[in-house]
Amino acid sequence: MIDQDELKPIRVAAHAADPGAPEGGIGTPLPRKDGLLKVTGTAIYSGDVDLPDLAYGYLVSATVAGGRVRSIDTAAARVHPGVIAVVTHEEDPIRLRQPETYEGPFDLGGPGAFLAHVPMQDDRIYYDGQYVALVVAETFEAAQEAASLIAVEYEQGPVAMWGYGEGETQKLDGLYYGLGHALHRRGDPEAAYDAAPVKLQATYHTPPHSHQPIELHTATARWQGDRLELWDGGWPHGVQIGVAQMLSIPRETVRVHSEFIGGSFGGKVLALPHAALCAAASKRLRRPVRIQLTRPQLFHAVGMRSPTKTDCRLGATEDGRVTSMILDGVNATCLFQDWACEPSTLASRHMYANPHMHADMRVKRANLPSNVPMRSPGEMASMFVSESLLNELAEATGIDPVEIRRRNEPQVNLENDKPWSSRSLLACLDRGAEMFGWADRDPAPGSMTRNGKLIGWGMASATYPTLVTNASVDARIDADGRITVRAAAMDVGTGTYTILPQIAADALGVPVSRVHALIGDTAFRPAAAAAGAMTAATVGAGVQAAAVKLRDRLVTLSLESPNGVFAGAVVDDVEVGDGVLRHAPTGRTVAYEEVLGDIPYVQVTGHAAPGAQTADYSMYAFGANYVEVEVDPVTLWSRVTRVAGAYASGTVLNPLTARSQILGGIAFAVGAATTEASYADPRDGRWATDDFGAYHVPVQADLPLDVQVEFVPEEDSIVNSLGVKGLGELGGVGMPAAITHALHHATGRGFVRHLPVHPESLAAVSADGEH
Amino acid sequence: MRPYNYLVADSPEQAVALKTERPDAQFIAGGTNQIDLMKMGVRRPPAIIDIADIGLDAVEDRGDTIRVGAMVTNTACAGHPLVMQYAPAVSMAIMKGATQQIRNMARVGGNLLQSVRSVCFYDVAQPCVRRDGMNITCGAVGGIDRMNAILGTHPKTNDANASDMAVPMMALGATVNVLGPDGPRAVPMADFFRLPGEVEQLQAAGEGTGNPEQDWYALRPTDLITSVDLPKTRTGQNQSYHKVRDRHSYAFALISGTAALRLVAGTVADARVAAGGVGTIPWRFANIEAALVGEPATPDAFEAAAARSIEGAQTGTVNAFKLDLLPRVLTRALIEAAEGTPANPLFWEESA
Repeated sequence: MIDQDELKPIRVAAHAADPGAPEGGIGTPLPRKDGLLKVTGTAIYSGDVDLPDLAYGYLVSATVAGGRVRSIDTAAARVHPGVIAVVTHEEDPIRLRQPETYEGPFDLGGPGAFLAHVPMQDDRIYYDGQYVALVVAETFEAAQEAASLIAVEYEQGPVAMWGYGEGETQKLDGLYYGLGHALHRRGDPEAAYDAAPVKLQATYHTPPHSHQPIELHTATARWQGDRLELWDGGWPHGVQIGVAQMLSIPRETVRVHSEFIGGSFGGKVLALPHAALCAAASKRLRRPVRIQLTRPQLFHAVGMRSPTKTDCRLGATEDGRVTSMILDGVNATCLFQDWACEPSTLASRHMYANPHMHADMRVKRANLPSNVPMRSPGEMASMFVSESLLNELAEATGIDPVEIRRRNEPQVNLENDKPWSSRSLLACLDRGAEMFGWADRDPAPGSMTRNGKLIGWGMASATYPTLVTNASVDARIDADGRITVRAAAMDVGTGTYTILPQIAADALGVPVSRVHALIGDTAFRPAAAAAGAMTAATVGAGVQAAAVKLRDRLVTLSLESPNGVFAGAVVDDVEVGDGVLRHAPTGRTVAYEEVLGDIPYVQVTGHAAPGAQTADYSMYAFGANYVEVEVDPVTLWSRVTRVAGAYASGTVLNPLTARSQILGGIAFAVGAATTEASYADPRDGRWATDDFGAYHVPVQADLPLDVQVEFVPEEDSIVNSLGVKGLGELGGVGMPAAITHALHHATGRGFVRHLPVHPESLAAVSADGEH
Repeated sequence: MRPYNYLVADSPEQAVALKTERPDAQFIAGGTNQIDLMKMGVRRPPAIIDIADIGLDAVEDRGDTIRVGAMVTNTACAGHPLVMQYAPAVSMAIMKGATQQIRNMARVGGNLLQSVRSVCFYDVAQPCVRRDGMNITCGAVGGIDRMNAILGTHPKTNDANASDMAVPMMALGATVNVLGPDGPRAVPMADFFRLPGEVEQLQAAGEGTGNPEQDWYALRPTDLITSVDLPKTRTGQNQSYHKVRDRHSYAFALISGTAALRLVAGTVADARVAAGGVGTIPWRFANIEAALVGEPATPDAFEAAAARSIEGAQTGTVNAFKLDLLPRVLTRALIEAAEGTPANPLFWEESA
């Protein structure tokens, strides 16, 4: 929310000539302002920075998933042509501070955001691919070849696997980084379940996922004296804090650039050890150093979405009203971190009107890389659970799955008894059903066919919380009339460079072409990470506050400075808009920049913080997914052929980039539902799927050509001054359940409860859904 | 950098001569597999011999057969009118493999030799019978063997042959033509790929080539594949290639099935059936073919015959699902073949 104290009580009137919105403002489907830079290859990513005397680092990955390094023979690597330095935990080690706890990416004032394990400090191996040595050379190729000459001997230790249902699980106090409680109970869920006339039991599984943005994680470091300049492609202030802590240097001495980021999915939000190793190597060698991770290293060492297993019991009335849900989830995690970042019980806590609920989340420690948030962390698994349960209930009771959601619509959020700031789930369900043609569905499984194929229609709700945090943004106008908004926000490819100027253009009453966003640099004020769909809502609100303040500052200047263009006039007579100030009594207008006079620029800072009332409300975006699948009746192999989705996420700042975000979410969900999974060898915990030939991200052929996306109008004055609910996570949440629902409908086979749906999955599932 | 010698041949004879001089060298044409393996350190040849421009890039009609030169690109092979007419399953198989960019580079000769998609073959930290010889056991045995074979397996390895193209070639009874220092010779495709047990015997007897990977093919280190002869089988109107995989494009076959049928008045007069992704070599099913001849071309008959596909199958850790899926895929391939070759075997409506 805009801090109201920051705003002077200046009356602002739209310019009389045109009270309409400025060109390119909020709600305009504006193409990306950075699009030309990207398609012409002139956007500079962290691996593109051209520095004189740059050296190249290459990290050696462990080939055991647990145990110790017995010895490392670096002799051949050290004499390889072009090699400058070789680092291990014993030879010329780089000492980094081991963070004691993992800190979350949500608290700007907090101590940082980094992986909880810093490698190459001792001989212990906790996960496959953990870095054991660093080679720095004159070229990437020399470093890579020398790295392959390093001979590491390991003492294979015991390896704890994350396999479902085996081994001990551990109680948890908090989810994520302590943001939420692992246990939620209301009512008397066991008694209500026992008394329920309709009972369901099911266990759902989701696999490990890997973020895999196109841009490989890359750090480029340069020192000038004691000051570090780091190009990282991550969250600027999070990386600054994390790297400074690992290096034990003051954070003020670290400047981080991440002007362009080639995808993140949550994976670029953390400060990662390779960046600190890169910086330390650069300092030691007195020259710039770059470390670019390899594609396999992105599967090994930068964190992942860990697998889940959720045991569920659901009790309901015969008319489909859920009375009790009892969910016990397990999220695998690494050996050195407690949080569950994929809590598979989360969404069920607030989605429906069941008065009785038990939802508990535990972790299972295994030799895995860090368990970190990946796109829609928690909602991916928990909406698969929640929506599968509702669909299985619909099947058990013979009630239409849309109707069953209507019958379970809660008036308030029963998790905390708070009212919704707005909740448009039913509107989304209705609009989505209309777009899809749901009314034409024959509910009998196996009843719909086309060209010899079985056709299935399925659906699911979508939800994502509206997370808000603080944001401070500078807005500036230069004497040449150029307007900039500045904050250390991230554009991970989602459109931050475009929507921030749109918000400022609206507030200032100027065409969007005059406004530019400067982001991705710790030289600017801290801003939320591009995580949890926070950027538009929080940084956007900060931009609005700053732009309003800049506009008011210009009015003040025009009136109060000795040479002010309207010196002596009264504030009520000045109108603002269309890039000009207008003195109403005389009709005299002056452009914004003319107000500056001899001042080179005017810069103000706007602040946005969660408003007091946000604590009194439950704030979520909702949506509805409708899916068609086609199944070969002979092989039972399937594909998704059609999707319609309706989403309500408050104000839509830019329908074009918003639609793209949703489409990306849908593609992501098709991957989560039908192709993507990491598998590790059960004998030694080593990954068997650490390249794109084995870890199948979806390709165009997996995605339906017929995709309809609509935004349902929704006004929400509670969430923030813009009425924006983040939608970066919303697209595709719940869709895996819609897909398994459609597969059930197509074939009459049981619900697939193990993701992803492989070609053999339907054949393997019995009528009651057990594998 | 890892230096290596780069030699260029300008004729098949010169390629063989260079290889005879440098038996430690490896041929490279399209490089779509070779370059990957060199980058990953799986193969470290001290020299490579570029054979991309030695000719052998034509598809010829030779009466009873079609001769496809070894340097014909996969794209050109798939799209050649003779191939589309007489061996459309080869066109379809090629089009279901890799990507257009890779198919434009990859050559027919190299495709026959494409390496296995085994975890341990690509991970040099793991033991691999292809790299190290059959005196050890493949790391994938007992591990994640989802992509591995159930037919022609051996206690030491169940790596599946990864080629799409070779599956219909095997079904059609193709012949591989080879040029060596002693001149040309022809190797029936049925003899071209060696089963693990054959490789083990060869190596145990000291008759291997010294390059364990080489021993998996009936090729001497000095041999060059010059062409593949595809017989005109009179099944061109009824061929299919049905590939089931973990995503709908750009993925190796979980299981692929091919069928070539000659139908006379609704009855099967000739049947050729093979599968990929299930055999340590492209796997032809003589048992299914024999069961089909004389049977009506109906889904029930196809299903009954395809059920024989898993005779003798050996499953591993996580690939038992192939026992169920293989008959399904072959049934589907037979149904599609009976329905008729697609009008355009390069671009057709893929079922599911």
